[in-house]
Amino acid sequence: MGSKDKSRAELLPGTLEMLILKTLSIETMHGYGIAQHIQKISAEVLKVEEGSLYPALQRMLLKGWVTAEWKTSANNRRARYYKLTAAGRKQLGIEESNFSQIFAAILRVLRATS
Amino acid sequence: MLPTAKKLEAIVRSLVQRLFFLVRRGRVVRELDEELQFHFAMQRDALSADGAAPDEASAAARKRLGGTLRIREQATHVWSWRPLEAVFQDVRYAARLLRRQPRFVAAALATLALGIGANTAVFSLVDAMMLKPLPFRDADRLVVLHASRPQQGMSQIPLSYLNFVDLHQRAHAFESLAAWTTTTTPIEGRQGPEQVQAALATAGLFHVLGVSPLLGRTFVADEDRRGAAPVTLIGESLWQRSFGRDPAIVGTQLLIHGRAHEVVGVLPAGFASRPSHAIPSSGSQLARRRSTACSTPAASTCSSPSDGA
Repeated sequence: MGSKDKSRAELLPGTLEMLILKTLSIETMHGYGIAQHIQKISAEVLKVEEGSLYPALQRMLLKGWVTAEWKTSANNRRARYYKLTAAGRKQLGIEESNFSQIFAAILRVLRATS
Repeated sequence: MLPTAKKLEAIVRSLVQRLFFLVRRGRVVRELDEELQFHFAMQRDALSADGAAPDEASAAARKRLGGTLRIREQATHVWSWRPLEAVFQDVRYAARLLRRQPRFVAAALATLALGIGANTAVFSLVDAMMLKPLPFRDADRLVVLHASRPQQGMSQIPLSYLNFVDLHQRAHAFESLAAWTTTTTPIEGRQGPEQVQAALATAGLFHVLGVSPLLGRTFVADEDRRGAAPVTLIGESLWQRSFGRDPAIVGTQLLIHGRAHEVVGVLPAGFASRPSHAIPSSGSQLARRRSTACSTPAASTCSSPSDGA
């Protein structure tokens, strides 16, 4: 339980799902690829733990934001590829705009001088 | 309205998927395991490519293995439905406890079985006798007439036919009256001769009961007079058993007691299932049989047996 909370704490709540949605909006990808993509683009600042990634993917499957399909990966291993659904695409839009608002609000607070 | 419908749809979908998960948990777990194995294999490859010794790489991978269980747990938790799982757990626990007390369980089960059985039996009886209406039109207006001799402490004596005739002619408390009795007769069906249950009835019986035939007609007035052309009605079960539900049955001749009767109609199973497969009409024949019951929709209510008999 404690470790679960810690891994969650690395990102703002809900942002992991948004980042996964964003990654999948670029291309269909397996779990490892998603983690790598987020780490690479964020210049290793954001580390995605398997312990958060896979539960999040299951959650998103449950909500119907993504679908999964087994395919052979580039290095000839069987991997499960996730694909964004229309509902997932819509959710990405909602989360991006929410996040921008909150982020802007936080910045305004931080930069206030009086 | 629209957001509510959407919300409902989402709830239903998630419910369905969760129920689905209960059934195919094994598959979800297997897929997840395979997925994690792939993930760790990729990590191992990446570590080796970075120049880590193979030992080091697999040690790191082994370290991950403990994590697999935890991740699997967390990932499947997403699907689970805690209230339901808690109920399952309680049920399992109860079952384990009960298994340790076989004698207590046997006693409890026997008590339950006897209690439920007795209740069912009594209810079936009450239902058939008191709750369910008779399968006839205006069943609440039907009465059965009996004779009685209070001086001799006798009641519910079947009426004689002559008493019935008197009632029929003189009693005004009833809208109409009819009589019938049951017997068995040999008939010559398409599969050879057989003995069947039959009812002997006055022509007005089906009018009194409000029974309409499946095919053809019921008896018309005077068909129960002596010397009338012999006619009969057959019940649905006989129609099915011996005549293969032949719709052309009406108008054909059926040998009853060796005498040809014209089949004028087929009665529905609800009416003719048990008491009568074949119903030859007859009036004065009833005179020879004492067991004649009279059913009548009362014009007023059931005000009347004192009226005649």
